[in-house]
Amino acid sequence: MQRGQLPAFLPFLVAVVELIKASLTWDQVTSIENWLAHLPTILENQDARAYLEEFLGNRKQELTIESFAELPMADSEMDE
Amino acid sequence: MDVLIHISQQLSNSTTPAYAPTEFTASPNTVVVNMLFFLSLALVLIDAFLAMLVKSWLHEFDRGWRKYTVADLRAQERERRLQGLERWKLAELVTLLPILIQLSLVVFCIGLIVLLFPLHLISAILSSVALVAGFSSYMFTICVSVLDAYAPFSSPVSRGLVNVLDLLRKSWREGVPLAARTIQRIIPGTSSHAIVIDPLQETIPSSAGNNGVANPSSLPQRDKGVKKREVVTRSRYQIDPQTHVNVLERLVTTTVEAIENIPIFLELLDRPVRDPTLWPSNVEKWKQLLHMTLGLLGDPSTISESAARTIARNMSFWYDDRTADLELFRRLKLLFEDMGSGQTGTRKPLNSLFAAYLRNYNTAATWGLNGVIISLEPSNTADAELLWMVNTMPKTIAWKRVLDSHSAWYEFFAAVLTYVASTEQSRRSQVPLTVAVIHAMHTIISAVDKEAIHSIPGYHNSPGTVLTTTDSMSMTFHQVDALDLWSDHCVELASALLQPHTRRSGTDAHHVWWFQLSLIAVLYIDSTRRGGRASTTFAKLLKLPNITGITLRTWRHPDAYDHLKLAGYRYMVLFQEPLYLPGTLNSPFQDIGHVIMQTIDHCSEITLSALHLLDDSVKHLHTTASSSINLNRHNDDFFFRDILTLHYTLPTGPIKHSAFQYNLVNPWVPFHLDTLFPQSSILTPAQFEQLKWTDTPEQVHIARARLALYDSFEGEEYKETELLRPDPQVIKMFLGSNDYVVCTGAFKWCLNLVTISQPDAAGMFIPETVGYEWIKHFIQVLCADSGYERTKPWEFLTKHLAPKWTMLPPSWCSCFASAFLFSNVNPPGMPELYAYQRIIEPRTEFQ
Repeated sequence: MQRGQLPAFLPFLVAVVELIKASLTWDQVTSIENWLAHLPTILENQDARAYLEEFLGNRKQELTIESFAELPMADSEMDE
Repeated sequence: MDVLIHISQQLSNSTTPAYAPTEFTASPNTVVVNMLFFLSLALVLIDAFLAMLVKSWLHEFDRGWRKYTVADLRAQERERRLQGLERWKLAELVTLLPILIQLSLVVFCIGLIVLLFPLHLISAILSSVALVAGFSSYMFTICVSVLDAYAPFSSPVSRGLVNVLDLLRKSWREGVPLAARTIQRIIPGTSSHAIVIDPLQETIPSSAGNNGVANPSSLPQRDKGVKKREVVTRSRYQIDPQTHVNVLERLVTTTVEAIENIPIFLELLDRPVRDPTLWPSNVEKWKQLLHMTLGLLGDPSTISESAARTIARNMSFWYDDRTADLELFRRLKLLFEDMGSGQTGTRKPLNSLFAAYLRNYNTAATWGLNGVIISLEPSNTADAELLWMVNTMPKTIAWKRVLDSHSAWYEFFAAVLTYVASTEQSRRSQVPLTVAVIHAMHTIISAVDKEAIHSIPGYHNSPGTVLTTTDSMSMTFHQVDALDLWSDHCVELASALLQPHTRRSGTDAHHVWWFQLSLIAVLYIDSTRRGGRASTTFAKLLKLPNITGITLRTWRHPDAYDHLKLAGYRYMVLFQEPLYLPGTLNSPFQDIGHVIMQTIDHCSEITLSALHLLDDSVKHLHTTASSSINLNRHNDDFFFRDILTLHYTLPTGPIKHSAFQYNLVNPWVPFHLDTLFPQSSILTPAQFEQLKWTDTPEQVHIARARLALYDSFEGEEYKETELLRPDPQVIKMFLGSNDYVVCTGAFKWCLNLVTISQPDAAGMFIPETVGYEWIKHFIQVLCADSGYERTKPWEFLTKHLAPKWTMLPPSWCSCFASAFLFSNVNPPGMPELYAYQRIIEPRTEFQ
């Protein structure tokens, strides 16, 4: 494979991940983040990487909010 | 005198009457003496005259051929004149000259004795004693010469006596049995054994051992006639080796300055290396002679090619790596490399062989040598040199560290057989290379199997020699009639070599198979040349090997062969039946279409080897035939079944071949034929229905070929052509394959077809019709271990799937995304890795 083609994988992965954004769990997001953190620099496509990191961060935020929202104690404290 | 006496008497006495002459009468003694003296004189004069004449004739003889300056013309003229000289018995005339002188001397001596006896008895006796003594000595020398052929007193008289004695001996030998038979007829009941005595029965001396010539009594009886002829022929060469050494030594030492004698020295030096019957008893002496000859040659870099070859042969033969003059070897190697550097053809010159041979001598590798042998320019000289190498290989690489490994031997001899087969050596020269290889290989395998490789003397194990094992496990060679490839003995050895491979130390099946395949090719070529019994024997030998997975690579050096012929050899090995020109018993096949159709006829069960053979044969057909190659299926009215017919045109004219067993073939075969002949349409819908994908290696091969054909259309306007189009049904079938190439190749065409049928893309994306399970299957195949090409899946996805991602059905894309990101692709028990992680494993793939 030509080295110029290597970074093209990340944009594709972004497209794939985007498609199932709503179903990504915390563990899955963490798994992708860990994998991304150890990705060799040769594979880095800065734009795609930044976008993916932001995307995963957003998803984590959503998951956090969702999990807080599901906590019954939080609702009761607010009521009190 | 009488008159003077009479006058003197008259002067002293006057009464003496006048002189009256008396009638002259010579005494018998005087007559005899005069006769003998004059006869002696005449003989000497005639002898002198003849000698003068002979001298002038010989002078003319020399002058006649010396006037030519070209060597071969000179030799021809000399030969013609020599034949004339023999025809007119000049040699016999020259022989007569000393006989005449001897006769003259004898006559003169007799005359002298006859003269002396009446005159003075004592003088006569003394003279007689001296003459008789001299004559007796002469007769003694003749007798000695008759009894001892190598006595220095040989003369024409003694040779004549030997001939007379031989004649008498022959008459006696023939006469006694005749007389016995006569007596038996006259006296019935007399036993012939009681009477017939052969007092002069000759016994052929057993000289086995040093010169390697066998005792004929030990030879197989079936070839007795041949053995006798061979022994007689070889007896001409039964020179005592020590005598041979002496001849060379005398020549070198006495004519050391005579440079023109160098070719003779080299020839003599080379003879023991080439001829097993001339093995010197003193090898050290021979080494000295080699160095004396080297001294005559001067700088090795300036000597001729043939002289360099002789020196190289001798050096490698008489020395091993511990004692050799490595500097000389290095210079000879460079010399041969220089000599071969100007060659531009595909075949390599003979000097390359010696360069590689010497390289092999210094390093333990034989592969370089094998490569050169395979691509050697065919010639009689090359054949002879190879024969020498085959015969002496046990010695020349005996000191290497490959002793107990069959592989090196198999590879070397397979290389020689590849040369023999690819150049059809047996058709153009009489050098018995194949027989030599069979004997050598048999000898070496036997020795290695018995862990007795060191007991092979190493010299001249063939041709005409064979290894025998004695009780004490020592290996010896002796002469047999082995020069006939189709003799019972040789066929027996070939059968042993063609037996299915059994694992031996240091040998894998591929070495053995290469050897066996080459041997079969050689045997086929020779059997078609010989015909008759050879053909039937070849058919039996062909049944012996069991070689699996035959491809071009099994032959190791397929490019050495003519590809048409190689296809035929592959067919024969694969289906274990000879392939001849249609309608003949043993004429060699001549065109590739015959091989193709015969192969199809054998495909009721498909094998990978048969598919490879079909592929290579069709490829060859496309390169040799004109563009109009037609493969047609039609129902034959006579046979009441489908017959396949192949039509094409060669420069020699149109060709047609048929497969009559086509109705029995596996349905995958017509499917594959559609791939090989894309302009034909052989597969019927009914046959397509019979196709069931089971992922066998044969199906994978067929699918890969079909997808490669589709790929070759990529970018072409195949829609407008008559070529085979990508078929969605076929692609769907291939999607189920576990083979990476087939599965991804089929998926790629699914993506391609989406583009092609853009207007109704939604209904044309084949994987969507297969279901979600297939996506998991695809990802498993994608992430399966693909060896060193671990980046291929990633490349595939980015190159083929990513560009089409937005065009694919969203539901399918979601399914793919889930499977790609979160399905565990590792086997159970292994650390969990998702597909994207498996495709790009951080820190391991690219760092």
